[in-house]
This record gives sequence, C-alpha cells and structure tokens, in this order.
Amino acid sequence: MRRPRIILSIAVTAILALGAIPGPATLEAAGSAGTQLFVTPNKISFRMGPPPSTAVCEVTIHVVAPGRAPWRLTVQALGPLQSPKGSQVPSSRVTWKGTPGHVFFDGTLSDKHPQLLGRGQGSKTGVVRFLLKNSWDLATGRFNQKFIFNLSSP
Amino acid sequence: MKKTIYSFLLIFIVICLLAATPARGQMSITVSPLRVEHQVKPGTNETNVIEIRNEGSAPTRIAIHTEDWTMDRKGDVNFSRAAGDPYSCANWLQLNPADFRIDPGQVRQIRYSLTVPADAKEGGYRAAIALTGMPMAEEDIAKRKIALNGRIVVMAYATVGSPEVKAQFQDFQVTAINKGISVKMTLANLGDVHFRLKKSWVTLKNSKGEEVGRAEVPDIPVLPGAVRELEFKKEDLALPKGTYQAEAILDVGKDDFLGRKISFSVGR
Repeated sequence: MRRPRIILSIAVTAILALGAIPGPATLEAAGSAGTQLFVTPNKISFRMGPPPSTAVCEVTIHVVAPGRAPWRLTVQALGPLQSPKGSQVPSSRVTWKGTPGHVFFDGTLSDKHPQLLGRGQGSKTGVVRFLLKNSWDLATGRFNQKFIFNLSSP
Repeated sequence: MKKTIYSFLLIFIVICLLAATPARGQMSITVSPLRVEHQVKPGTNETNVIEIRNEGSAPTRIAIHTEDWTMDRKGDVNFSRAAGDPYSCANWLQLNPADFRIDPGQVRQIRYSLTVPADAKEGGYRAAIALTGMPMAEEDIAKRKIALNGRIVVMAYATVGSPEVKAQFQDFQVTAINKGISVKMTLANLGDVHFRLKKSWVTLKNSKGEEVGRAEVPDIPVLPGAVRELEFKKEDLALPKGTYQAEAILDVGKDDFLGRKISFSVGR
C-alpha cells in the first residue's frame, strides 16, 4: 500500500519538475522578428540596513531589436516610494549604475520625467543596479511603487 | 532498503524541481512592428495590426493607449498625454483591444484604425502607441515591493498627401578617436513632413583617394520644423597618421541625395 503511494508521489514530483524546466520555445522566441524587452526580476525590494548602508537591487535587462534603427530605454517612477504605513521616500533618492557603460548608463530616478537608462542598436543585455542609500532622515520599513521601463525607436 | 532508495530519489527530484523553478519573476514582451508609417489622404480610413507576444513565464496584463511625442535636438524623445499637438495624429487612432490578458507564449494582435479627418492639412503627423506590460493582478505584487513594468512604444507616422521634404544639411564634422572616428552632423527640417535618413554612409578616403573605411549613418527621423544633431562613432577602424577626406551621402527620401565633404587629420 505504501509503495504505490511513494511511486505516485515520485511521478507527480517528476512531472512538476519537467514542467518547470523552460523549454526550447524560449530560445526560438528570442530570435523571432520583433522587438523584445525583457526585465527580470519584475519586482524588487530594498532591504535597508542601518545608516549609512546602501540597499542594492540588481535587474537584468535584455533588448532584442532587429535592424539598424537606434532604440532608447528610459525609466521613470510613478511616484515616491511608499511604505504601507504612509511614509515616503522621494524617488530621487534612488540612483542606478548600468553596465556595460556604453549601452546602459548611470542615473538618478525621477517621478517627473523619464530618465535615459540605455541606448543602442541591435540586441543588448545589461545589468542595472538600483541603489538606495539609507540615512537617518528616511523612514524605516519597506516600500512599494512602480518603475516603468520604456523602450522606443523613433 | 527499497524505502531508502525511494526516499533518496524523492529528495533528488524535489531538488531538481527547486532548481528548475524560475526563482525570480520576469517581464518579457515582444512587439512587432516598432514603427508604422502610413501614406494617407484626407477623409480616409486605414486599419492595420500590431502583434504582441508574451515571452515571459507568467500571464501578463497589457494596457494600450496613444500619446503625443516630440524629439529634441539630441534625439531624446518626450512622450506626453495626447492633447492636440498640431503634428499629432493620436486622436485619429482607435485601438482594439485596449486592455487584455496574454498568457506565456501567446501572441495577440492589436488592431488599430487610423481615421484621417476630411479637413486634415497636407503634412506629416505622428503619435505613439504605448503597450504596457504589468502583472495580471495588482494584489500579486506584495505591498512592500517595487513593481518593474515594461512598456514598448510603437511610433506611428501618418503622411497626409504628398508634402515636399525640405531637408538641410547644416554641419558635418569628423574627428579621430582611439581606433576609430567620431561623426557629428546637424540636419534641419524646413518642411511640414518628417524625413528619415535611409541607407546613408560616411566614406573615408586617404590622401591618394583610396577608400579606407565606411560608417553607416543611423536610421533616424528629423521632425517637421526641427533641427537634429546626430553624433555617432565608428570603432575598430585603425587609421594611420595622415590627412583624410570624409564624404557624407544622405538619402532623405528625395530624388537627390544630400552630400558634404570635409578633411580631417589623424595623429597630428
């Protein structure tokens, strides 16, 4: 009685494992026509230590663009960072460092205007490290907000 | 004994499962085309499609809307709410659907109709069709997280009638940099319709008149009434010391090309 149960649990687990492995479709899609914007992770959280520590969140960005038309990638916050308790951190306290530097630039976040984050032609991959430096005037806790990555090629 | 083997096997598969499960969410969308250009007449209507594909591992909500946009001298684009810019055709566009769910691997088509008013003046008009990808349910984003949403903008151009392209090549400079050249050019649009640099080149010749290098000019638009400064580099081009001539030939969509020649030196 126990043996079939073990076999069943192994089978179910194996099926789940196989289902979770990304299939080759992802690779095919990356080469298909069209312009792709890939951002991972799709949510971040600044884990703040005591001042003057700096919280860092790393985001990988991949742009797949055919042809020779230049593309531009900007980022904008939709408002200040908000804690569930109502305290705020101005979005301008968030800075970022982009690599590689000739495609993805360093900058300071704004909720008023989109800020240039990257510029290039063709397909490029980069890493952007968002930084939030803690100081005594900042409220404690974790914050929520939306950052919009905007890709265009005029 | 068998029980131990089964237990080990189970643990092994669970480890595989944990390793295979994507540890982090992702936002990944593909949009095609990224630019649409229409040649239209007043009082007419055109319908076309934009395709979007969810390349990510989770269902995504896509919200679509139109905006106005403009561009500064350096080529930086500014988007704004569609509010009656004289060169805007945002209000001529209708989108369907405007808000929908797209599953991983799924492709959806967005129809857009461009209805040109009967009294539209001859000239070039433009709008942005913004497709924003976001998690399906806002409550999926924990309250203490920052959501990273991706937005791809399709640039739409509509040329009403056959306005004349009036392009002016105002300035051209080439300077030697480490293992390459830096090119600067200034272009002015004196007309009512945008023009675009199509297959355009800067050709480099040495003092003997032999071609020693070529740089392709990026495909950029110059908007009506605007001046555009373009700067780009051609790297991996080791030029020996000497004097060179650079010739720019620009195709702006007219029968005649725009051209300019200048001399520059390397290593002096």
